[in-house]
Amino acid sequence: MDKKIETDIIIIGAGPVGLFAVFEAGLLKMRCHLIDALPQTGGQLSEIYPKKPIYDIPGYPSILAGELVQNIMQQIAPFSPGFTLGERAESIEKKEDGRWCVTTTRGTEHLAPVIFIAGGLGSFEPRKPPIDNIENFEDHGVEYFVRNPEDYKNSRVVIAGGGDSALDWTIYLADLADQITLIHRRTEFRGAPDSVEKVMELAGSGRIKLITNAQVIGLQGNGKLNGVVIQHDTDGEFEVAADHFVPLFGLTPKLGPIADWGLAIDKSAIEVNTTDYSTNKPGIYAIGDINTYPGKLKLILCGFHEATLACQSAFKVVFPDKKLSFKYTTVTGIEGMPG
Amino acid sequence: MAFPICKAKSEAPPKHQNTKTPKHQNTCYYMENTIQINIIDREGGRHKLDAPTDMGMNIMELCKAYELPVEGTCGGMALCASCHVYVLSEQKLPEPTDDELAMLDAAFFVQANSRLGCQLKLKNELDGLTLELAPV
Repeated sequence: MDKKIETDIIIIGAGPVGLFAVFEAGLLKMRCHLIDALPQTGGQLSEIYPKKPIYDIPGYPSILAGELVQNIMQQIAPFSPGFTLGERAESIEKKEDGRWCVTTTRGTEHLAPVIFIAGGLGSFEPRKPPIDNIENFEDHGVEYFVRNPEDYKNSRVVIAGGGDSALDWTIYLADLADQITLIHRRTEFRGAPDSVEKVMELAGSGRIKLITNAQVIGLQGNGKLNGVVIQHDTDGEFEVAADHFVPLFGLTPKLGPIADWGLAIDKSAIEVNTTDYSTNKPGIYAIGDINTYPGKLKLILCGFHEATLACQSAFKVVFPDKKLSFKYTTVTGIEGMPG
Repeated sequence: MAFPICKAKSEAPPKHQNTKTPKHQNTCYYMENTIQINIIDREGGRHKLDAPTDMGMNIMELCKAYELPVEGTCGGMALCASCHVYVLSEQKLPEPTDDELAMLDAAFFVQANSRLGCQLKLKNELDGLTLELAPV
């Protein structure tokens, strides 16, 4: 399929600020399409702290992060935004007609005269253990996600980590793989009690091998992984044969490819002009935690303000011949847009 | 700088006469609501930081205010471990919460004396604390 997505504003990052930009753009009759590396909307709020209360959203003495995302999704629904989720924005290119093209990791192309970068702390990527040659083995035995459990059939798998995903995959793959070894730095596991119990049962019955108080410190193999080196707190170093090593230590945000787009960057943040939160590239704006300017505060509430002002400026790019008039929603209400 | 912290001692003459015994040889004055935190950076450099105890700050924020190389990516929610430190002195610290322990489980270079700076609030009991920034 070679269909390009065309819109007025491409919003990179579907966190609270990127989502709210859809509302402000919608009031000005600009259509939006959001791109996010995560499979769901909400950014950090959904991914890392959905159950944490936020106390500084005006009008809400306290609101759970997950609820705030749901509310904004409801608020922007009338404007029928498009979504490309689970794909990271990889590159940007200026087209001959003056529009920008944003291409994702899966090759999906998006065209619009304006880009809002609302990427927060960057895209969430797996936390990689500090093992020297780990990059050499990526996709040659080292995987940070279990994409297709069938890949592990009849093979020797070493999983590292102490959280739910390490426990869940150990349980799931115990039936499929030839041999499963779970390695955890401590004795206690912090995952769901049911999962911990199940893993202990599997270890007790010899279905899996459990090594605690240990970590993987080295990888072996010639082009393809064939073993891991384990450092045990008391037993010292030893090797375990392995076809796959799956370190599951959660996700961490990385600025990623945005750093290479020719934007002015200061300490992993994009420099903007506070008149309209525009970057050094015409038509590209940066809003929310990803931007920086004198006096910057990384607050959702400040991001909402930034999104609102950026929309006013983007209007002039999207509709160069139209006149912008300011209206209150209380007076005009919300006029939605079809999808 | 976001916080009105006295950087140079000469800028901050003690407002109150010292009635307590200074706990450190090198502390030339003791200001109420100010403690001293010692940070060893990743190159081995030593930093003596005057730390206010009345501003609700934590170690991560203190390091950032002094422009030490601490990212504090998650803003202090015990969710990124970019403020991971090793405790080198003997002060009795509050026990880590479940959130902090869960994050340390997913962090690297963790040792028995590992803590997250963002979870250590600046309080009088921390006076003289020595911490080393963990590798990133």
